[in-house]
Amino acid sequence: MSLGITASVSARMAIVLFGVMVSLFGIVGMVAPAYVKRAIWRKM
Amino acid sequence: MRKYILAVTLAAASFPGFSQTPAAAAAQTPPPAAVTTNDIKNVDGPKPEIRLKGDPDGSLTGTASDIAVTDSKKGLTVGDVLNQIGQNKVAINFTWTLIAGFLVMFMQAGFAIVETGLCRAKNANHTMMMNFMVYGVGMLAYWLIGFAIQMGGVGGVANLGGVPSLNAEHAFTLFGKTFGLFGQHGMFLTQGGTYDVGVMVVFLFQMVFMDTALTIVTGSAAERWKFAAFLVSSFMLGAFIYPVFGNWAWGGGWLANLGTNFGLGKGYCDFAGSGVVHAVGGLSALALALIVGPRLGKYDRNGKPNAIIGHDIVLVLAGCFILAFGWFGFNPGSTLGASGNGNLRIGSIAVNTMLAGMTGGFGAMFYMWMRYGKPDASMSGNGLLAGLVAITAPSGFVNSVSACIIGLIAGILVCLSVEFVDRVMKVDDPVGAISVHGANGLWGVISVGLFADGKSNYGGSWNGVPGSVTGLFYGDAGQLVAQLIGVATLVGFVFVFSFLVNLAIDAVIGQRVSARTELEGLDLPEMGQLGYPEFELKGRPMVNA
Repeated sequence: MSLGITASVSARMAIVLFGVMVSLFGIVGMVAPAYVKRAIWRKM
Repeated sequence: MRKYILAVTLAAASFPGFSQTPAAAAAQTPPPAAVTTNDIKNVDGPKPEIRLKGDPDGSLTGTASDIAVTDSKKGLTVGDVLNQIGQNKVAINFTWTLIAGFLVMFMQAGFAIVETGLCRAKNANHTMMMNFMVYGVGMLAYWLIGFAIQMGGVGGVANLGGVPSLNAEHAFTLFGKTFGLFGQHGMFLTQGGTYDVGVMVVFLFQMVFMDTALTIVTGSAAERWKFAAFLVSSFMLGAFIYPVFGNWAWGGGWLANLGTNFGLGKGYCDFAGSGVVHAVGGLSALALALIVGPRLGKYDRNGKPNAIIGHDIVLVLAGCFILAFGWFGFNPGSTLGASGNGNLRIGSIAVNTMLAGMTGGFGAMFYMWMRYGKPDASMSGNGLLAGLVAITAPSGFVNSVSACIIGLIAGILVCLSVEFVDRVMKVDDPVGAISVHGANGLWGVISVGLFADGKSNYGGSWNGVPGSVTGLFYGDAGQLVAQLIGVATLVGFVFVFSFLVNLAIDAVIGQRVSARTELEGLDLPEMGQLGYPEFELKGRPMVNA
């Protein structure tokens, strides 16, 4: 709902880029490493 | 007689002595008279005895006599003519959209052989069966409820005769703005007045798009996905995950209304589905690949990736060609019509599609050639597909130069993404679905916000906002923000939704086959039949050239 915070296009751009980065970090930096930790090749 | 009068009139108008200055002509010309029934009353078709002689040049076929007359006593009226014109427009658009949908349906065959070719021969039957059955499973889910969720509140499709019954969108209000969440008409294609010829066309076209998203997922989890889990997962994707985002983008949902609600360009714009179809499929593929884990032998105990070579590059490249052919239905067909509302842009859309595919193939081929010394065939095919995926969203809004740039970037991006997914994330994706469809789907969505040139005109507005879709490079930064909100939604919501659904399926059914089944190959244990029963399947020493 960041769109309601500001009407500035630049500010909205910054907010949404932050959101994209957080989401990508969640996948690449948190979920994927969590699965790699217990990956099948580590047990071999 | 009429021809004679017409000829005399034209001759008189073109004779110098009869010429007038524009001003004088304007002063003397009476106001245009409306066409009345009397004007067309005596317009006859060719006489039956003439028609009996045949029509070798086609000049006698398709005349006033072919117009349906509502009242034979009154004869042909202006109303009859106008109704026929309207029906002709809708008929052209029906035919265009249906044929485009048939082309997209055939893409299932392309996906099937690309994925099977990139897998090992011991899993050929299983991989083909997943691609075969995903068509039916997806269709069933979409017919039951998915279509209603996605398109049940779209509020009309002008090109296809209006389809007014798709008018029930569930929405909530915040900041005084309405946010559409999901549609409510169209279950079983009967509920809510949706037993309608126009709705059927919309359903067919949207159904084959949804099935494309579903078949992307089968690639990333190939060679170790339990068939029963595949059926359930595909059903859930077709019934809920895909339709929800499809509604937000195409069904009158909140993403489409970012323009009317917040002044962000024309709202989220995804012409043919880089985001709705490919990114949804690619991100679901990522979620599933994480859950099922890498194939046995893909990584050594130190985490170093090993290449597992597919069994038939001929199938792979032939499949890529089939997909490129089907894409001519995917993108130009997304106008949902060829007549009216700026739909003649289908020519530009088709050319953009083929150009981006071409530069995508070049981008990947040259990248691999420079980096590894050989023009890798499977990556060249993936480059072609990446270019096509990336141009899918912007194809209706950009010029041909931009299409080439978008495709070229996609071709390089797919190579970088494959390396990143394989080596950094350590996610095993046998066919590169995450990179081809996920990464380049997101790139396609962003590229609309950059390259849309403001020259398209689909009836004077898009998503309810007057004007043409215009990207950052042509002066509208707000459009890029709308596109990035779409990207954030895809990554932050669609991935998470898909991940949770597949996690639940993993807990109940289990997503992965046993190690023994995987080593033996899934064909016999899962399907009961080998894909190539007369072949001797055994490991052969690899020779590096």
